[in-house]
Amino acid sequence: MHSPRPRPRRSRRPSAAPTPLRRKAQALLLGAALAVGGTAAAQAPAEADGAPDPAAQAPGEAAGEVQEPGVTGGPVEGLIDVEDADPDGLSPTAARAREAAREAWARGDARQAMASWTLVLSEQPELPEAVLGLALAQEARGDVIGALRTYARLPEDPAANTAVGRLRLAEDPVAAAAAFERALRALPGDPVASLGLARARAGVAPEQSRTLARAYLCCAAAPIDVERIVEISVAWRDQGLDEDAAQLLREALARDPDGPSAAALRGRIDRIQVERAARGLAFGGGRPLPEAARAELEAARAQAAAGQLSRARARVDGVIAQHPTSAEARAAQGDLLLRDGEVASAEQAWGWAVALDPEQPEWRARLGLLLADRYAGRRHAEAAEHLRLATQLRPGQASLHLRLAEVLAGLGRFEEAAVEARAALAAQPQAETQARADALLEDLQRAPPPASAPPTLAEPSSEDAPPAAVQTARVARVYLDRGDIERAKAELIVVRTLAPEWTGGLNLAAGIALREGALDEAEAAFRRSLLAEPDQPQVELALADLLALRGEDAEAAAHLERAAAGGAVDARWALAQRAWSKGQLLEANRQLDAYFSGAPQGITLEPARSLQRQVKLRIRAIGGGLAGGALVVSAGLLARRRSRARGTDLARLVQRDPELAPTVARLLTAIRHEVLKHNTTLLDEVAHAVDHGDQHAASFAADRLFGRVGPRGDARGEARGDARGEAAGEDRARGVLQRFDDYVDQLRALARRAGLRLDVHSDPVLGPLCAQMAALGALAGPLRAPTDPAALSAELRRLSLALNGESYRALGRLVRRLGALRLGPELIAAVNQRVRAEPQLAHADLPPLQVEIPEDGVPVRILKGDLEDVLANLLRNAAAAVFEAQAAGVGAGRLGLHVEEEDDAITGMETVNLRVLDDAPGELTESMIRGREAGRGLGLVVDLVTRHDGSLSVERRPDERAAGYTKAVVVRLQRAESEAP
Amino acid sequence: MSAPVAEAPRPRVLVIEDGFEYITNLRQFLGGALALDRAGDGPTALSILESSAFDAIFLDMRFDRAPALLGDLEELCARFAGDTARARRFLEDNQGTYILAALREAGCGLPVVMSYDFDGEPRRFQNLAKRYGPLGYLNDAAGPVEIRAALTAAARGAPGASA
Repeated sequence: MHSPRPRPRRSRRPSAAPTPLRRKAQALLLGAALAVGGTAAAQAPAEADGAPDPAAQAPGEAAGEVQEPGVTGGPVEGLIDVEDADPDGLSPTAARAREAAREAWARGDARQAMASWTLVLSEQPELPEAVLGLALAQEARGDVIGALRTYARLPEDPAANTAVGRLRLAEDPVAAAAAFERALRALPGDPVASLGLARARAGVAPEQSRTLARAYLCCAAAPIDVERIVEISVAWRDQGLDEDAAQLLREALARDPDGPSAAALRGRIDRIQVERAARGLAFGGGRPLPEAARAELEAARAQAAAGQLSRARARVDGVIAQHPTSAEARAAQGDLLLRDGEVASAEQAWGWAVALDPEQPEWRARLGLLLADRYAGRRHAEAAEHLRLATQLRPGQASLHLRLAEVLAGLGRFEEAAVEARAALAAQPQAETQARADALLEDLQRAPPPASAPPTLAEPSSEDAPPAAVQTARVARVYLDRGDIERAKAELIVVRTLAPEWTGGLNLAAGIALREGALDEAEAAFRRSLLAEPDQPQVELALADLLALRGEDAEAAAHLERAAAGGAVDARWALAQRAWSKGQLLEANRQLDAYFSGAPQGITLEPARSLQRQVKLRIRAIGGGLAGGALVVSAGLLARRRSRARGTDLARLVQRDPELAPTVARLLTAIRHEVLKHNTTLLDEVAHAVDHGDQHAASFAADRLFGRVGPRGDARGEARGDARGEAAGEDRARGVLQRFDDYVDQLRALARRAGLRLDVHSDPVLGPLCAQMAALGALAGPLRAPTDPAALSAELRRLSLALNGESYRALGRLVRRLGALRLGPELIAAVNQRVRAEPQLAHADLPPLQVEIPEDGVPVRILKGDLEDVLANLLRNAAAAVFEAQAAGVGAGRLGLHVEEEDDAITGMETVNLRVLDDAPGELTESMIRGREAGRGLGLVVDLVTRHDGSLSVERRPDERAAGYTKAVVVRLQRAESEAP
Repeated sequence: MSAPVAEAPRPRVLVIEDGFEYITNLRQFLGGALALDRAGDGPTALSILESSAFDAIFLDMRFDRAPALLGDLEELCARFAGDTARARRFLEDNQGTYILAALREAGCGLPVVMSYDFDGEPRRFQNLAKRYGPLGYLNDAAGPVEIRAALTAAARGAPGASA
């Protein structure tokens, strides 16, 4: 709830300031009153109960008010010169009363505060602090009516109006809403007033209530007002808006998943879901509308068809006003809103329709298609949920199955996608749907097995875990399957708390890390899981996949062997592929036989059959007397294939030359920022424009993507700045495709400098991105002069989905992965040990290094080798200084390394501060850093640290947390967030 | 009963970006949904906000083309061991947060939606939201539809839109 303390605020002077003469008179009057009531109040607090209500008196009735006891003021000082009074324009006496009121309020003495504020108000009847203070004190004493009257003195004040809204909410929501609206007029966006208004309107205007509540959750500072959120959800639920109510609670929970209200919120969400499931059996959202209302909807549809959208919408709004729980009317509203281009509102309307009639597949299908088509892949998880339910409720709709398959493929859920694509084919689709389903299945068969192994992992043994952990892990898995990683992580924290070493929790942690692209973290979790329970073939397989992805082939093969021995049939398939790529035909055949004997299913089956056909053909060719020639041909083919594959990808490039990581990250960020942002994010809208024949928008997009076209020449060639375009000497903007090509060229050049060849097409991130950009390049002509608008908009949407969805996310994952590690006690100990083993220190009797670091370590953004060098230099300096001091008999001999986290006040960025401390005499100066001097190795440290956007400073007197030390070198590095291993 | 929000006047949004990408795109694709003005840097934004009323602010993060930067370059130079170029780059890369801090310092309490991918830096976003809320963000993949939805939602927290 809100604190009853008045908000700190700038004081406002009253509009009619008292004249000096009047002030003097008031000061005299107040002084006299104090002399009468002075100390009596402290001795007899009960007297206040019989005191007149100060708010009932007009501000001018000051003389009456000052009869109130209660201020422990000083003696009367006679006439006081108040020309230089305080900023509120109060006389010294009234100012003392103000201080007394503040102090009384601070110590919880509402009665005293009330009396003192009353005195202040006798001089400044509209002083906001005094009005609010008095009203709050009245509230605290249970005098709600008096408080309302007092607040009314500040009709425009946002805090006063918010308080009025709060007080009237329970009994008069309409008056409360008016008060909150007044507060918002004075203080736009104020979260407390927004939430109050959301509550006040929850029962009558749920749409507005929802907007306000979401705005509050989006923007309010922590801790959020959970009590009010729950009230709103209850109001919505009472109107049948179960899904909205549950969603609001989920969003509140996401704001503070570990907070004190989390369990209560989860309980309420569960309760709503249970209630909804129970109610769904007999709920009336699906009841048919009365004939007249149905006719109205039909008329609205006819108007919409005739282009009279506004009238149609008004008509549907009328039906909704009469039948607010009609799912059909809400769905009709959604149709019209979408036609009007109001995607978010349409989504909301269909969301209501689904909530009102959960068993009706049509609304779900429309909502699912909207989420899939309009959000460029970012809401595919939700889309998949709705589409899946729609297909379950009404199986056999080929186009729905196909769209679901496409969405699932976009989410990387290839096996499920294949099942849906086959369902589409089985449903006797039309030619176009059939062709798309065929193409998708073909793509899926080429796609790699999903990297996100955990969904395919068997349910872990729950014998060694508390039931609550098992249940929470299942919830987390559901969230993970839906693509809601943040919620999955929140659930994971609970799981890990309940059962820290349970393999199910560890595997879940690995799965989440994989989804985030945090491969090191995933690897660590898998390894811990295998340590706890070695007999987990699926985990062996997942770890092998992960290691292969990182180029650690030998270890990957060992894990594959263990997975295969444990019965993981897909491990056989992977081993067969490895043998084939090495030309080991018999081994490949052996592994494939083992694979098929395991009765495999899923996405690897078809490619495995195909491979076995090739293997057998080749073996047969060799055995049939063509051995020599075939072997030569075979070896040549394989050699060429290996040669083609010898180019490196970005991950391997950085692995080979870690110093390139910051530059690679910078270039990838530039692609993300300058190519995707502002540009490819427009594709959906361009498709929409093409659908509606808006050639202006299409040309705008073409200019942006391909560069402006001059009087001659093709757009793409000119945009690329080739010789022809350059020769023309025409002034035209470069398109983003050209910029993309430039960045890719820079990445290639970077690899060349490292003696490697970057094979962009085999790179898992750049490859698809290049293909998508090439496909976009092919649209230059059609965009400027569309001949087949339907095909063009479909292709634009497909590319939007790919570029703004997976490619965007993959770039982000890769950037975050580059150059991040977890600094823990082990790494520090290893470096310290290495330094102390160096010849100059090996025989020194050094004190132990006192390390202070968070138990789990801290994630930092720097390369491991660089961090080791930085630490080694600083620890070496400190140890040498202490050693010398000890030899001279100075100092107790102390060495320390303190690691702490802090965040920057302006940028919000978090840093990890490494403080290397010693107690030796001698001086560290800023010039050692600033001038990049070689002295004490700090020049090297400066270079290494700044390369990773860190900084270095010295402290000559470390603070009290480092008592006993005389100086410190402080390295500030960027803290990596969750992606760090 | 028509939804009250549908009758609201067009939210007025100040777009603060050093280029013209957002303002051009939004004007092109959002039509009349929002009333948009632009400021090219922090000082200009502060000056505009003194004289004009807005419902929400859309704020970019990186300002490498802005004529004027907010922030203490000298302090940053000291932090980066006297490396002026790095200090300036830091200011450019994080200028959005400097502008945000200056807005709040100047008493501007409007909802701000930042255009920056805080998806990968949730703690940083929480730190900023705690200090400088009301604050939301959109990542780089947000298209006009999402931008409009976010700005409209932010602006509707204001009384003009919600009444």
